[in-house]
Amino acid sequence: MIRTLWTYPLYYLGQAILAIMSMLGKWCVFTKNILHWSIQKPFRFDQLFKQFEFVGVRSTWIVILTSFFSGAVFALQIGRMYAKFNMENLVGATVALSIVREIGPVFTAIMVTARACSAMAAEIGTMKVSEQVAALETMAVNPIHYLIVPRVIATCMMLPLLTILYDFVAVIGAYLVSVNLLAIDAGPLMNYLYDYVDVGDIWGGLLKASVFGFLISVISCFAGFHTHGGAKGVGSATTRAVVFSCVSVLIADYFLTTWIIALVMNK
Amino acid sequence: MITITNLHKSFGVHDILKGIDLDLPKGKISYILGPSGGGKSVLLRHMIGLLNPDRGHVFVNDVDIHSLSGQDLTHFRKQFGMLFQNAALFDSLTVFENVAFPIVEHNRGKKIPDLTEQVEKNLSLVGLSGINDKLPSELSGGMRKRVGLARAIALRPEIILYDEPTTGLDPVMTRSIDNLILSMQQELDVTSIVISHDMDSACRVADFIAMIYQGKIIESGSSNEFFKSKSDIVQQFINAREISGGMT
Repeated sequence: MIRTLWTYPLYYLGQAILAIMSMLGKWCVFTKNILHWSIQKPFRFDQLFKQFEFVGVRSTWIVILTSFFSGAVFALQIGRMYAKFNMENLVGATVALSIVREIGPVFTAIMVTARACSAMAAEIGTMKVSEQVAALETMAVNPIHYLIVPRVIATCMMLPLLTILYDFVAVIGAYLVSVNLLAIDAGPLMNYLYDYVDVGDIWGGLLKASVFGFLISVISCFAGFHTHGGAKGVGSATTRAVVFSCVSVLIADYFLTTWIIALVMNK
Repeated sequence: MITITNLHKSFGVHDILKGIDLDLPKGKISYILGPSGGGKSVLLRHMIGLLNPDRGHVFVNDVDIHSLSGQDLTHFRKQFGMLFQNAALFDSLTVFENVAFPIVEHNRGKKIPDLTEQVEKNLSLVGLSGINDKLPSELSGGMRKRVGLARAIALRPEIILYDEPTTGLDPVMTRSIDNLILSMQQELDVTSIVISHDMDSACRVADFIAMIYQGKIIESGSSNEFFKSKSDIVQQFINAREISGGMT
C-alpha cells in the first residue's frame, strides 16, 4: 500500500517529464526543419508578401491604438510620481527609455500574437485536421516550406517595424499627456529625452523584437502543425499558441535584457 | 511496382499493421479491402511516405520510400496522385485554383501560357465544367471528390492512390466514381490503388484485390482468385454484400 502511494505520483511525474521532453524534442526538430527549408528553392515571394500584409499591415491599427494609450497612461503615472520630487522634466526620458527597451518590443509581440499568430495556429490547425496539409505533401509540396517558412520570416521582419511604430506613437502619447495634461515644458522634456535615449537602446529593442517574432511565429505554427482531434483540437492549439507565445516572450525578454546589459557593460 | 515487406506500425499500445507483405501490380487497379479500423488508410499513407513504419519497407519502383527524406522525398512524390476520403481541397481556394495548384507550384518561375486549358482538361476528364469559380464549400460530396481527382492527376502521376473514394456517396455517384477510376486507368495508363470496404465497387472495377484483417493481409490475388477464396473472413465479406443486394 505504501509502495503504491509512492509509485503513483512518481509514475505521473515521469509521464509529465516524458511528455514535456517529447514536445521540446519535436519543437527542436520543427525549428531545425524551418531553418533548413528557409534556404531551399523555390522562394515563394508571393506567399511572403501575403504574410507581410497579414502580420504587418493588418496589425498597424491595433499597434497604434495600444501604443498611444500605453504611452499616455505611463506618462500620467510617472508624471504624478515625479512631481513629488520636482523631476517632471525627466518624464519623457523615463517613458521613452522604458518603451524602446522593454514595453515596445514586448507589447508589440503580445499584440501580434493575439491578432496574427493565433490566426496562424487556427488556420494551420484546420488545414491539418481536414487533411489539407497531407494533401500538400502528396502533391510533392513540403508543408513547412510552403506554409511555415513565409509566416516565420514575415513575423521576424515585421515585428521590428511594428515595434518602431509602437515606440514612436507611444512617445507621442506620452508627450501629449505630459505637455497638455501635466503642464510640463516641452523643451526640457524633449532635451532630457534626447540626452538619455541612445541609438543603442533602440537597436536593443529591435533585436528583441526580431527574436520575439521568431519565437511567437514558430510556437504558433508548431501548435497548429501538431493539431489533432477536430474542432476541439483546433481550439486547444490556438489557446496553446497564445499562452506559450506570451509566456515565452516574457521569459526570453528577461534573458535577452540580461545579455544586452552585460554586452553594454563590457563595452 | 509497389512491394511491401514485413510492414509494422503501432500507435501507442495499439498495433495497427502487424507484418504486411504485399505486391501490387503495375498498370492495374488494385483494391485493398477490409473492415473499418483495420489499418487500410494507415497502409496507404505508408505507400506515399506520409507515415513512417516501425519496421519493414515499402518499395516503389525498387526505391525504399522511407529511406528518402527532404527534397528527395518531395521530388519522389511527384509520381503519386492521391484522392483523399474527404477530397482535402484547399477551402480558401476556388476549384480552378485548387486544380491549378500543383501545376503552378511545380512550374515556379516559369510562364504557363496554357494553364487554363490544362485545368479545363483535367476537370473535363472527371466530367466537370463551368464550376471554376466555385469554392469547395459550394460543391456536393461527389463533386468535391471529382475536383480532388482532377487535382490529383494534374501532374500526370504514374500511381493514383484512392482513400475510400465511394464512402458517403449515393449509389449513382458511387457508380460514377467507379467509372472514373476505370477511365483514369484507360486514359492515363496509371497504376491505381484503392482503399475501400465497398465490395461492389471492387467487384466492378478491380483487377487485383487484397484483404487486410486485424493488421495482416489474409488474402490477395486477381479478382477471380479472390472471390474463390476459402478464407472464412473473405467469404463473410462477400456474403454480406450478396445479402445486402449488392450483386451487379
